[in-house]
Amino acid sequence: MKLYIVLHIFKVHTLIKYSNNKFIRLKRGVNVAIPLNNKLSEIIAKFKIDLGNSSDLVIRNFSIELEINIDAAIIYIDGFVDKDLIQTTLLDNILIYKKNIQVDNKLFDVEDLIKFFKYSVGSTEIKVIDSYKDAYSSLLSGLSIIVIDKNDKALALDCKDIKGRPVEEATTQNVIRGAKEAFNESLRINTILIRKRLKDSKLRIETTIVGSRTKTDVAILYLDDVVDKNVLNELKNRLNRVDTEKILEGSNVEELIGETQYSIFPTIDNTERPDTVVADLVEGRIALIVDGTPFALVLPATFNKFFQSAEDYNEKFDISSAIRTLRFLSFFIALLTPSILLALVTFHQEMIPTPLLINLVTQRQTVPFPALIEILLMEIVFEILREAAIRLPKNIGSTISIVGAIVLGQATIEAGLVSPILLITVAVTGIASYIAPSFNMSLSVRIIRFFFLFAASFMGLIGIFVLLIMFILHIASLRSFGVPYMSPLTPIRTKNLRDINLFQLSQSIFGKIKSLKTNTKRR
Amino acid sequence: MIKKICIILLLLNITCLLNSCWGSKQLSQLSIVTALGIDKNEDKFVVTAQIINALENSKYAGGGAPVSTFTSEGDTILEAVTKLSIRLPQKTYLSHLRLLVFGEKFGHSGIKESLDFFERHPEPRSDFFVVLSKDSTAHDFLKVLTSIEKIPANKIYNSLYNAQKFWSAAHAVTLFDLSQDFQYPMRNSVMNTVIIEGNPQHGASINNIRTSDPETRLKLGYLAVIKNEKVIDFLTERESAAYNAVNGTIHNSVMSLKISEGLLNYEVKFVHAKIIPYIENNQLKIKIKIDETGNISEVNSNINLTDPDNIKKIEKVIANDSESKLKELFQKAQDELQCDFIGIYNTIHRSYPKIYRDHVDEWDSFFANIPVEYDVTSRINTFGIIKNATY
Repeated sequence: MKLYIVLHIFKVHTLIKYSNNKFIRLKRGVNVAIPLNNKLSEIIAKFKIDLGNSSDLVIRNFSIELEINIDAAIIYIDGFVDKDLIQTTLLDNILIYKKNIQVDNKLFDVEDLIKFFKYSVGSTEIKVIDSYKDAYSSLLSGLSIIVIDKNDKALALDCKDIKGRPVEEATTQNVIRGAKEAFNESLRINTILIRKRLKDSKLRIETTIVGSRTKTDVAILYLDDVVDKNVLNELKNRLNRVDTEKILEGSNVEELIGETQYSIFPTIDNTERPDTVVADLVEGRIALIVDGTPFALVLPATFNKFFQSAEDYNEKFDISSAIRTLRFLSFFIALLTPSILLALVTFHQEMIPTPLLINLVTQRQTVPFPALIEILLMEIVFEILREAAIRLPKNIGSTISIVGAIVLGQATIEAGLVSPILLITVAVTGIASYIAPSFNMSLSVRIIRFFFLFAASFMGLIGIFVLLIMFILHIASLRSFGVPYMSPLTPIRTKNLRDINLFQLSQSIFGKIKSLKTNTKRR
Repeated sequence: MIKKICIILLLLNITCLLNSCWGSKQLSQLSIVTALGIDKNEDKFVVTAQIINALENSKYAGGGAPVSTFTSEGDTILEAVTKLSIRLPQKTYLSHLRLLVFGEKFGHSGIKESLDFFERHPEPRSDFFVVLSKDSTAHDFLKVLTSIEKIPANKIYNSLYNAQKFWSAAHAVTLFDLSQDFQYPMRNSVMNTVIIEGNPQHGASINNIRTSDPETRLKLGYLAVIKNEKVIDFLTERESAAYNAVNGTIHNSVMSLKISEGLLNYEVKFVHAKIIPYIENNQLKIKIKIDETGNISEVNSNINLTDPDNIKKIEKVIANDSESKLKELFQKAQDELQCDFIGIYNTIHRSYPKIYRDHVDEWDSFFANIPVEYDVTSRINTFGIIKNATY
């Protein structure tokens, strides 16, 4: 029942989608509309040629039997449409039409048919098409085209029925306490999940089409009165400038509109949770939903945003502040532990307490490699395990983790290839890198860790600190759609500090949190 | 761009192989020296290094000794230490030095020349303990193996560290303390002694620690007095305790007392010491003011502890005992040795810099004539969780 309602609204919105097409790209502006030829047989022939006579292209001829027989055809892509709906809305209604309307000898006109459909068919949206280009794009996005002999206009009916996944539980950003719903691949269901939580008339959903071949719908969501218009315009400009053939996933869009391709840090957040998106929208951020992707992109995204979880706001603020502190701590653990270990054991043995040093020396007695090789070996094996565990089918995945943990870990120590302390370090690092709620931040950490390792092997702690300074300079210079990446830390905005780490205080006590430069006067 | 990145990655790859960057040293290439011993053989330094036998400390231990000692001779300490490498498979690593042991003979001949190396060299920290091996050479001392704590240097380090907290006669001296004392022109100081009990040759064998009652053991002695960088005498237990009391380095200690009714044990919990120099009739005098607080922790007599008069009486006995200790110490320093190893010069330098400056050249004889007054107050806080002795 719920799904039915969702699908119903989904249909209503399809029309809005097309009327809202404010900025469909005109860049390649070569497609001057070729008017539909007005002979039915020629129209059909052209359809067949242009679409390559695909096996899922269905062309059903029928005739409207009036005083004169008018040939017509309905063209649709099989699987996209609800055949029952076509039957009930179209063919059955034409019979009614015949009964009710007296047609003189004049030519049968599409306008008449539209008028009729408007009144008789409630739930189906229709629009007039006057060029092949329009016809193809409508057809390929799931509409059914009715062409009528001796008419230069055609009719597009929405009888879409795309089978998709129902709304399911979040899988990557699951929380213990909080909403369980997650986005799925259907754009319309995703926007509904947001509307359901944000019943604000100022919520704007604009859709644009990106990708010259895939023609993927990308919806831009924002609250009109809160959003920073500069960011919005910047985003629209960037979307317009996108020149690509295919958009298969939100990450494609992220890459194409992202801040810079030379930074390893994500400047656009992604989430599969509608409640997170709603919170971000209210804070003045913009969400992008790409059709076919169960993740919404949220921008602008600052550094600390990647350490915030939806759950933080569902628990008591003191507890979530403590947990956030833990996340920042583990960010540094994941980033620096192996390199600090390496620096200590190859350069600064005097910094290790004597009992620990004796312990380390005895552990390393049988290890034949230099410490860097040893660490790299284990880190790479760990990364391989991690990658393999993602790709493997679920029921084999557990086998891999057992093999990884017991066989590799225990056996390498037994064989004297690595020292136990190293295995502990790699394991701790691996676990710590997963604690960031945002997966793409932990991916960045995974990579940067290796740079720190090389720096440590090269110059010890000095190398680490030099790289750390470079790292801080880099993230401080990044911007996400004009918002400094490290804000509100640099430039410091004390009022907004509440929502970063330690100061994540209760909203009810301390009022609204705003962490972005937004249109706040009207709030 | 891609070319550049490729080149950088290639260069980074090379760093894996070039692990011998400046200052880089692999753990397995280090001989960790936990203790160095210094003796003198005629004009040459004899340096003994106690080096951790890493494999014997790991799970692959094969029943060998946990440490090995290596000895070499040289005109300077550095020469001798460097020469160790002809006997060692790896480079000596001094950063984890816990103990510097002087042989008694070397101590008597003067420790002066040996200290510069440890202050100048970047590897050793200045927080290791310096001790004097009484009645033996440092080499003999360092070769004795110890049970419970496998590494003898660690054993001495830890027992010294704990003893100075819980036993009033022990005083751990670090290289830093020694250097500080030697900043003054009289170059007096003290250092703790260590003693070998039993035959050192037997102590070097692993069999020594195979038994529950090792034949040869290492233990802490009392303090040695250094005058002008030479060891000149040794203090008794009571004098060592008094030294610590004057210097305020007693954290916790016990003393047994004889009173008319029998024996008592007083556990010192807190000692506040102050050396107060003052001038009376144009004469510099010093007053040693000591406030000690503690508990009665053992009573082997039928004294009635619930009687406040008795407590006062005991307090008085304690104060007298402490005072007599101080007297012994000052008698030794002023009359016997004529050496200000206690550090009175330090206080007078601060309070009466002019007097200090006038007498700094012949300080020790000046010190010997300073009249000393004692003011000891002892207090008893509690006497444990029972009142009078039950039997």
